[in-house]
Amino acid sequence: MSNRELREHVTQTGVEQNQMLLDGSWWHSIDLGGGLVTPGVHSLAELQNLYRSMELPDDLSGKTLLDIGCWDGFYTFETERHGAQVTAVDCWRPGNFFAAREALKSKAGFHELSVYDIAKEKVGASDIVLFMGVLYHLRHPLLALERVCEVTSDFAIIESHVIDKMRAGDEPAMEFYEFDELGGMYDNWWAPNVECMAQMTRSAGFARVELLYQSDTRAAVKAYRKWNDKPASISPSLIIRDVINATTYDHYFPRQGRQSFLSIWIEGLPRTARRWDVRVEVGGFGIHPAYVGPPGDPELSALMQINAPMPPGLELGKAAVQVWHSGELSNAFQIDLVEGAQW
Amino acid sequence: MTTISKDNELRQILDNTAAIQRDALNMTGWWHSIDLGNGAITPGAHQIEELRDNYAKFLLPDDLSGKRALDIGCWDGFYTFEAERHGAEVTSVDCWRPEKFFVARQALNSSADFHELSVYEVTKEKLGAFDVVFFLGVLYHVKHPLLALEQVCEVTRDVAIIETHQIDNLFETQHSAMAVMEFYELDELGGQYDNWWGPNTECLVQMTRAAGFVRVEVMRRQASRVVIKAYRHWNDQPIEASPSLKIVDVLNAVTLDHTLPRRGRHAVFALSVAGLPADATRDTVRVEIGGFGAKPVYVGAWGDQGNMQINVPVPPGLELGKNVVRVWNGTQLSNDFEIELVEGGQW
Repeated sequence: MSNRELREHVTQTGVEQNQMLLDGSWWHSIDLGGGLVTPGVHSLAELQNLYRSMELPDDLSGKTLLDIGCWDGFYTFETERHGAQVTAVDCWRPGNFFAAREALKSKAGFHELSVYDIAKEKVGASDIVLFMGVLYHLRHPLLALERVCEVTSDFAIIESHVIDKMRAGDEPAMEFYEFDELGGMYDNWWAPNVECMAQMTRSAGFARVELLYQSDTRAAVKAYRKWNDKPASISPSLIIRDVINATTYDHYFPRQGRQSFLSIWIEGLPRTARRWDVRVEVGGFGIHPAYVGPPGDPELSALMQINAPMPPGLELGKAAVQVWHSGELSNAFQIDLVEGAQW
Repeated sequence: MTTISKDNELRQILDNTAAIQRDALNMTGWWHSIDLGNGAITPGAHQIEELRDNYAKFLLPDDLSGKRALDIGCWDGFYTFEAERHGAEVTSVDCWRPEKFFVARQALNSSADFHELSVYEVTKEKLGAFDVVFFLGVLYHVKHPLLALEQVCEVTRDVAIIETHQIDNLFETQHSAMAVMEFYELDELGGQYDNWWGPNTECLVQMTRAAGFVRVEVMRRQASRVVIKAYRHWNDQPIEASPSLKIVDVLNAVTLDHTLPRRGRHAVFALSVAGLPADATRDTVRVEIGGFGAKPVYVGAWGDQGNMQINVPVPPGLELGKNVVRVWNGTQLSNDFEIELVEGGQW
């Protein structure tokens, strides 16, 4: 399809789906048992297919899961059926969610919250977070991803409308919709391309991002809080000599806010090391280094400097900082995290 | 906008310029050249002629006495002291404490007031409202640009001058109305880690309106920078109300009741209006709430009552309690309809 045809197709689909909702359709088709399936705009087969492409483990027992933007609750009830302990969040009270929850005797918790109000303090941390079809409805997508990251302890699945087929060029970018330009709806604000979505997700604090699937206008990524290549034992050749605050140049370590940025001074890291092959871990969470290179201070020229933002969602108190590169793991350097500013 | 191809040469120039400016800054410690009197001018990375020319092109009144101005991202304070020299009472904000600002402030006997705040902490509650707000060279340094513009709007009671890096000549778009913003995960723009987003001019203008400003004028556009003037008021209100246009009711467009919050995700109102012609659109209809302009997002028929419906987001920075709503379309001006605003959620 051409760019124009694709845009027209998105608008046409939006108009049809709206009309179905106005005529009494549910958004999700949900199997309530006894042959009863709710009449959703999205068919059960379509949703089950999407669920499979999320590649979640079959057995989710013992896992906590947060479903942000749950609407009628298909993903809430499906993950609960696989054994997860689920909390659902939406920015309104979707009546059908409660009807389905009762019919299914589900134990899923529900919170009416704006995505920006989601905090570890309020809803705790969950092993798995689902963030399906929400990102492009938000005025502040990167802020929302920071909230998602804060409450994720293992991985998040982030699904969105994407514009890769709607513009030429592969620079990471997102398109803005002042009114109802996307799908004739007033609650669509920004749509990224996949590259922008991946970069924003890392900037929000996730260590690794994998593309799960991509169609003409949608894509999903799996975003991990942890690296998957941590060496088993410490190597004596890689030694963290000091960790300081990269903005205040002292040993003040706020866990959040604009000064929560680390400089790690390390011995034994080769000069050729680059930021995309150096791993940093703070308090068990992985984070991408922003800078790896010689230190600014010439007196420290025997060392290398690594700058990295603080990963979101850390607890106050002692946290270990560790670095690895080419199979060599550094010592665990203790820092003391204190509360920071909101921004 | 003309058809543009991705210009890698321009990206190279931006990188070089940023490196040269960083070197200049490292040499002298000054970003702005500021005239301290008696021939002493601080050795800024930006020349005084350039800064004076920037200020002149904002087309602000020569006399700002009696006006409150806010300079967000003041750095060494050129625009703070320039606005003060024109008579304004100035408040300056930066997200750190720029020591040169304090040196210049003392040398100039300036009474500018300084607050160390993140742009997201700039609120009417903390700082009050301002006739003129400067938001110069800040937008592309923030991770949440639309949120920052909402804060700028909340504290602006007349006009904001917004200056930013823009990507009109760096980025191909399918059509001129396409609003796009480019992301910089690391140091892709100018080799600096504190650059996050580059909008095109269309995106900047649309975001500024979405933040709550009703009118935007592009004042100056250079290869990779742009200056806009953003207004809180319409400039075409008819002088007298006409009996042919009447606001019948004001409802909450989200909750469909008469709870009218001044902020948060439920702060969108639906106006039921009688006497609005069928050809009125969101581009012709003007709304004013509590003295601030508000831009309709939807204008259409209200059920089958014969009235028209206008959906409009609540302009930022309104006071709690009684507020007046007005609508006009061409020469037709409605009655004053009084509403009671209550507190809303933060989001």
